[in-house]
Amino acid sequence: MDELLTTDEMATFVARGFLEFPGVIPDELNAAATDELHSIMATWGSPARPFAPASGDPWSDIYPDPSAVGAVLRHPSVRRIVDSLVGPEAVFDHDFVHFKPAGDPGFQPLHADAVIDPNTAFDIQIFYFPHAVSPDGGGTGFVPGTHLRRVHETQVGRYRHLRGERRWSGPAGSILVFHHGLWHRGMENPGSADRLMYKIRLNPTRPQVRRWAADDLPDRTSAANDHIFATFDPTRIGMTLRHREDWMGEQDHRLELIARAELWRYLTGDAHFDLDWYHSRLERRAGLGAVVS
Amino acid sequence: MNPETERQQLLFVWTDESSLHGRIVGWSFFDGNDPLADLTELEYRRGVDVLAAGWRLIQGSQLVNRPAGDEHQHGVLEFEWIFERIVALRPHPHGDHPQGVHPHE
Repeated sequence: MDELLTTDEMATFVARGFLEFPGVIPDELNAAATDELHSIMATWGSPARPFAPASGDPWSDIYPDPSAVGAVLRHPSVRRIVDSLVGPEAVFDHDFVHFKPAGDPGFQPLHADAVIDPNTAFDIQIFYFPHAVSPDGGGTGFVPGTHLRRVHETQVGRYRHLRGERRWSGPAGSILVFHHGLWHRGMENPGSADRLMYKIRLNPTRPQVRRWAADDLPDRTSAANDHIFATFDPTRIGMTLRHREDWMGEQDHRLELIARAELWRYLTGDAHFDLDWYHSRLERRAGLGAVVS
Repeated sequence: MNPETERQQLLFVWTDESSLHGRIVGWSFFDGNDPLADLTELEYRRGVDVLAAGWRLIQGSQLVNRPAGDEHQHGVLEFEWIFERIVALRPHPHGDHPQGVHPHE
């Protein structure tokens, strides 16, 4: 396994707001973590809770040995996510153990966590599933590509079904990582197995610029004038960044491209990167005359 | 509507452009005295298909210009349509809504 995320994985994260890593945590660690998560859940909010980190604690210090949850968080498959997206000097925001009993028909409204967040720098949320989740097993629901839209918490709870919404299912030891803005929800669990899931949010403390395995960036990046309505190279990163979700209309997608290009500029330090000339057109013309409002 | 004999069904749909001819990209369904009612599959592809099936449009979202300086901002889905139809009342099928109260995932 590579020690860091690849440029293509980073572009997928920017375009879709998540990455998925099925079955990367080994079974013996999943078993130990399951026991510890039940202990945490049983003692939540009390002094008896094992390994209770505080917001702002260094990522590297939380859940110290012999914590099984800590062993999961420091597993190479998780470490490469953290190191690449928020850096090893990231700090703890909060975490929670989510338990969904078999047969529970309750579901959450669709929501984005925390509050409206206008920053380009972003947090990540890691979801860990210590056991297999079947398609009807109450896996987390999420809507790819919603992460850059500026909404407030359950403001989006009115949306019961959006085309392209995912409902997580997969093998034991699976990891999902979300951009903090991704719309998601806990789903009903009509299946026959209880569902346990652990979620942790991390904040970066340094610019998230080229923290991944970015050596291939000069070869993978698209030209600033890579333009789907003019000339473009379908083998370059621009095609990954243009990914269009099934719920997106044309006007949605164009605003997404503008937002994704801004995020890619931040991540790469390339102030001239663009997708389909949207930024370039405006920036090149801006000096020609005053803005009319 | 006579609440002794009838109930209201509501269908919210969101289209991918501002016309009812737009493709439906999302929907939510509410059914009178059934708090758990849901439509996991929608048989209509476009907003006009809902109308053609006999639903009454009771609200469409206003078209709002983005304010100066915020032209590229996006958030909630813009093109929302609310339809209703009135159908015969039936006995309460489920009882109270059992939605959980634990913190959001």
